[in-house]
Amino acid sequence: MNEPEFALLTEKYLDGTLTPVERRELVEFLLAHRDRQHDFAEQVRQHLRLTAQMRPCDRAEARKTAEIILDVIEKESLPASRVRPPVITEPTFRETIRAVWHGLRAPRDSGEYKFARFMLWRLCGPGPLAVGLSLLLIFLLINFVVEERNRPPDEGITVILRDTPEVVPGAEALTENLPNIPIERPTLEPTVDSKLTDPSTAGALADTESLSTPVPDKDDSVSPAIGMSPRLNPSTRILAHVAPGRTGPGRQDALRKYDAPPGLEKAVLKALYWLKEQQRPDGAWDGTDRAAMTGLALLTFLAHGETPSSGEFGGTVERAIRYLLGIQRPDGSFSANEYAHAIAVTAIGEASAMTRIMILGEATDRGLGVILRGQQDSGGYDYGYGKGGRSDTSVTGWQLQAMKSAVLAGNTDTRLAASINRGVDFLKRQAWALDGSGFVYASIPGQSAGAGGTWSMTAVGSLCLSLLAHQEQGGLIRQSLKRLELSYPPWDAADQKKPVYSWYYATQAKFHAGGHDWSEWNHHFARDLMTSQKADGHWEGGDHDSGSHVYTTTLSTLMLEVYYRYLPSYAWNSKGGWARRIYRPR
Amino acid sequence: MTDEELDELVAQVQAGDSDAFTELVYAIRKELRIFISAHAYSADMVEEVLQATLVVCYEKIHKYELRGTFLCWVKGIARNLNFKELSSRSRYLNAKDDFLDRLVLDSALETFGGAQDRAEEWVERLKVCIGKLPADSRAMIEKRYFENMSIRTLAQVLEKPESWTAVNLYRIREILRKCMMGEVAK
Repeated sequence: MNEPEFALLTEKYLDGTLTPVERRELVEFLLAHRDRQHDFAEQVRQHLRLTAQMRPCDRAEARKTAEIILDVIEKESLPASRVRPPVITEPTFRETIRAVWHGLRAPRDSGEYKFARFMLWRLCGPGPLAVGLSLLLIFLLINFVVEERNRPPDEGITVILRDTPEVVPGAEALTENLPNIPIERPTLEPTVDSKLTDPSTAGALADTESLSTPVPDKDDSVSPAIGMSPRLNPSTRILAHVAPGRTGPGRQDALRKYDAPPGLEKAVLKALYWLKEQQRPDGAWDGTDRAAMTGLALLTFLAHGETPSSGEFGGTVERAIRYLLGIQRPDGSFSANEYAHAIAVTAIGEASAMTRIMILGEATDRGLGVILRGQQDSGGYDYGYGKGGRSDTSVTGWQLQAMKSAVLAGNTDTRLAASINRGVDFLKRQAWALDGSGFVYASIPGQSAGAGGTWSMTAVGSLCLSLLAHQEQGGLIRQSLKRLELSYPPWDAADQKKPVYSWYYATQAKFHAGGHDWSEWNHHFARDLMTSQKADGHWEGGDHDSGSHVYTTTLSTLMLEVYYRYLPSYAWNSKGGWARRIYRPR
Repeated sequence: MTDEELDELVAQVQAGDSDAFTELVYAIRKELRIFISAHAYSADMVEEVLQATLVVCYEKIHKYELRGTFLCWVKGIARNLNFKELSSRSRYLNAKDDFLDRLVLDSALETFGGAQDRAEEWVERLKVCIGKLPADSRAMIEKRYFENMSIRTLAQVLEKPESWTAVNLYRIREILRKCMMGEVAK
């Protein structure tokens, strides 16, 4: 393409008269000659400038332009009232419902009827139905979550289901630095349940307090480092079906049902507060053996329905559990002392049963392994889990309680049932004195005790048989209970220590027996205990007490909690399985 | 029309006189068109931007303060609208099918707003440069643009071949462009 041709095509482009062929030629030329592209663009722009410069502008054209502009502006600024209403308007929801209502009553071949059917289909069709169901589901979910969060602690025992590390590194150091925050104890005023109108029970129940334990503030002393705060995990489960008597309402029912003396719940709470204040920063309690003291203290809190999720004592329970888990050795033992180990297994097993925390179940199983391995062929136990043939009824009693706790914790070890049976056999065949004086303290292997039964060992044997034996041992249980009726060590004798140990067993055994055994014992034991309770809530002067008073206080408290402590029990039946058995006084 | 005269018209428009607005349009229309053409890429675009500028001018005229700078004020509006229009059209032009338009548009955008942008000054000088053209060349330009003749019509009027007419117009525009740049340089 030469110069004149390029100039001519450019002019035609400016005039808008390029044919397609000419346009293509021009484009190809410019694509091939990039140096001319700039010239072409400048020619076009210069053409526009010249057009603007040379174009005439008359007044008529200016007037026309102004009119157009004013017209455009006037239309844009037209008020809404002057805007023509739309031809078709959307009916309101009320109008639609009204039209549907009238349409359904119109003849079936009418337009109104068809419109009503169509609108009903739209309103109840898959789309609106799905949206409605989704909203309903969300509403129910929100309602459930809000209800769970607002549920007061007394309505049930809430627990956390999660795995927790056994020991958090540095937790002890952190907890030791926690300030000692004094917690104000709630004032508990007894009130009479006015709804009870039965004249036969009104007199007795008039003195029975209907305590509603105030919902205390959250335990501020829980260390964040421990990381087991119930607030961290909203997943809770009500375990009223596992421990109905340990829930708030269940406790009140049990106190009334089993004729608890007035002021009992107040005494228990005072003891719990005292124990809480005595807890060490690492979660343990001082005493002869910290594992044993911690296990006993934990049992007192668990018996009151306190779990790591509880408001006032949740932190205390949590630290106690963590301490025990932390001291458990690889072989499963909590302590070298056979008493302490059995008590710790009992406490952890009970905590597992109440909370279903998986790690507690595992700890119970490991602890139980030590007990199963330490049992002698006779079914009894000796100090240090010795296998020398000597069996000790006292030692055996705690091991059997631990076995019962493991059952409640859901232990599935096949050896457990056999061990329990051997333990029961030991009590029946070797520990029971032939002269009917009760259970003996220690037995000689392979021989039945001829005489020497003691009140305390009889109490131990009675409870263990009540907890574990099946109906075939009913006669022996009755004999042992009869032996307990003959005499009992006084609680507050001037010249001797308080018989905490024997009373602890006897109280439970008599509660399980019920009837006359229980009513007579119930007539005085709680009052004796409450009378001797110190103002700050503790007891002292018990046998085997090392001076910390924790031992005496925990066993005394467990006695007072007997009314509602017991979990549903399971007995080994003759058909080879565990049958649920709920103890009630006969 | 002087700046003071323009302000008098603006004051009347601000008072609600629509006839004054017609006078105002007549007064500024040509200068605005020349101003817009400095960066335009097509005649259609010049007219559209001019129309939009006048609409905005009328809508915002109550904000203008009578200080003798009305034309600068309107050119500011035109400049913003011009750039918006160039940017908008740039997004819709296909590189292959509108290659010729794209060349012009890119050229316009290239010179817009930068430190080297003196197109608006050049276009102010165009009238002077046209006056410096030889008589026959100026006559050709007047016929082409003032009388709005096509290349074919102009060739017929001049009784010359279209190619000859086209080459001469091409050269005159180039001379004018160089003149504009030279005038600015002086």
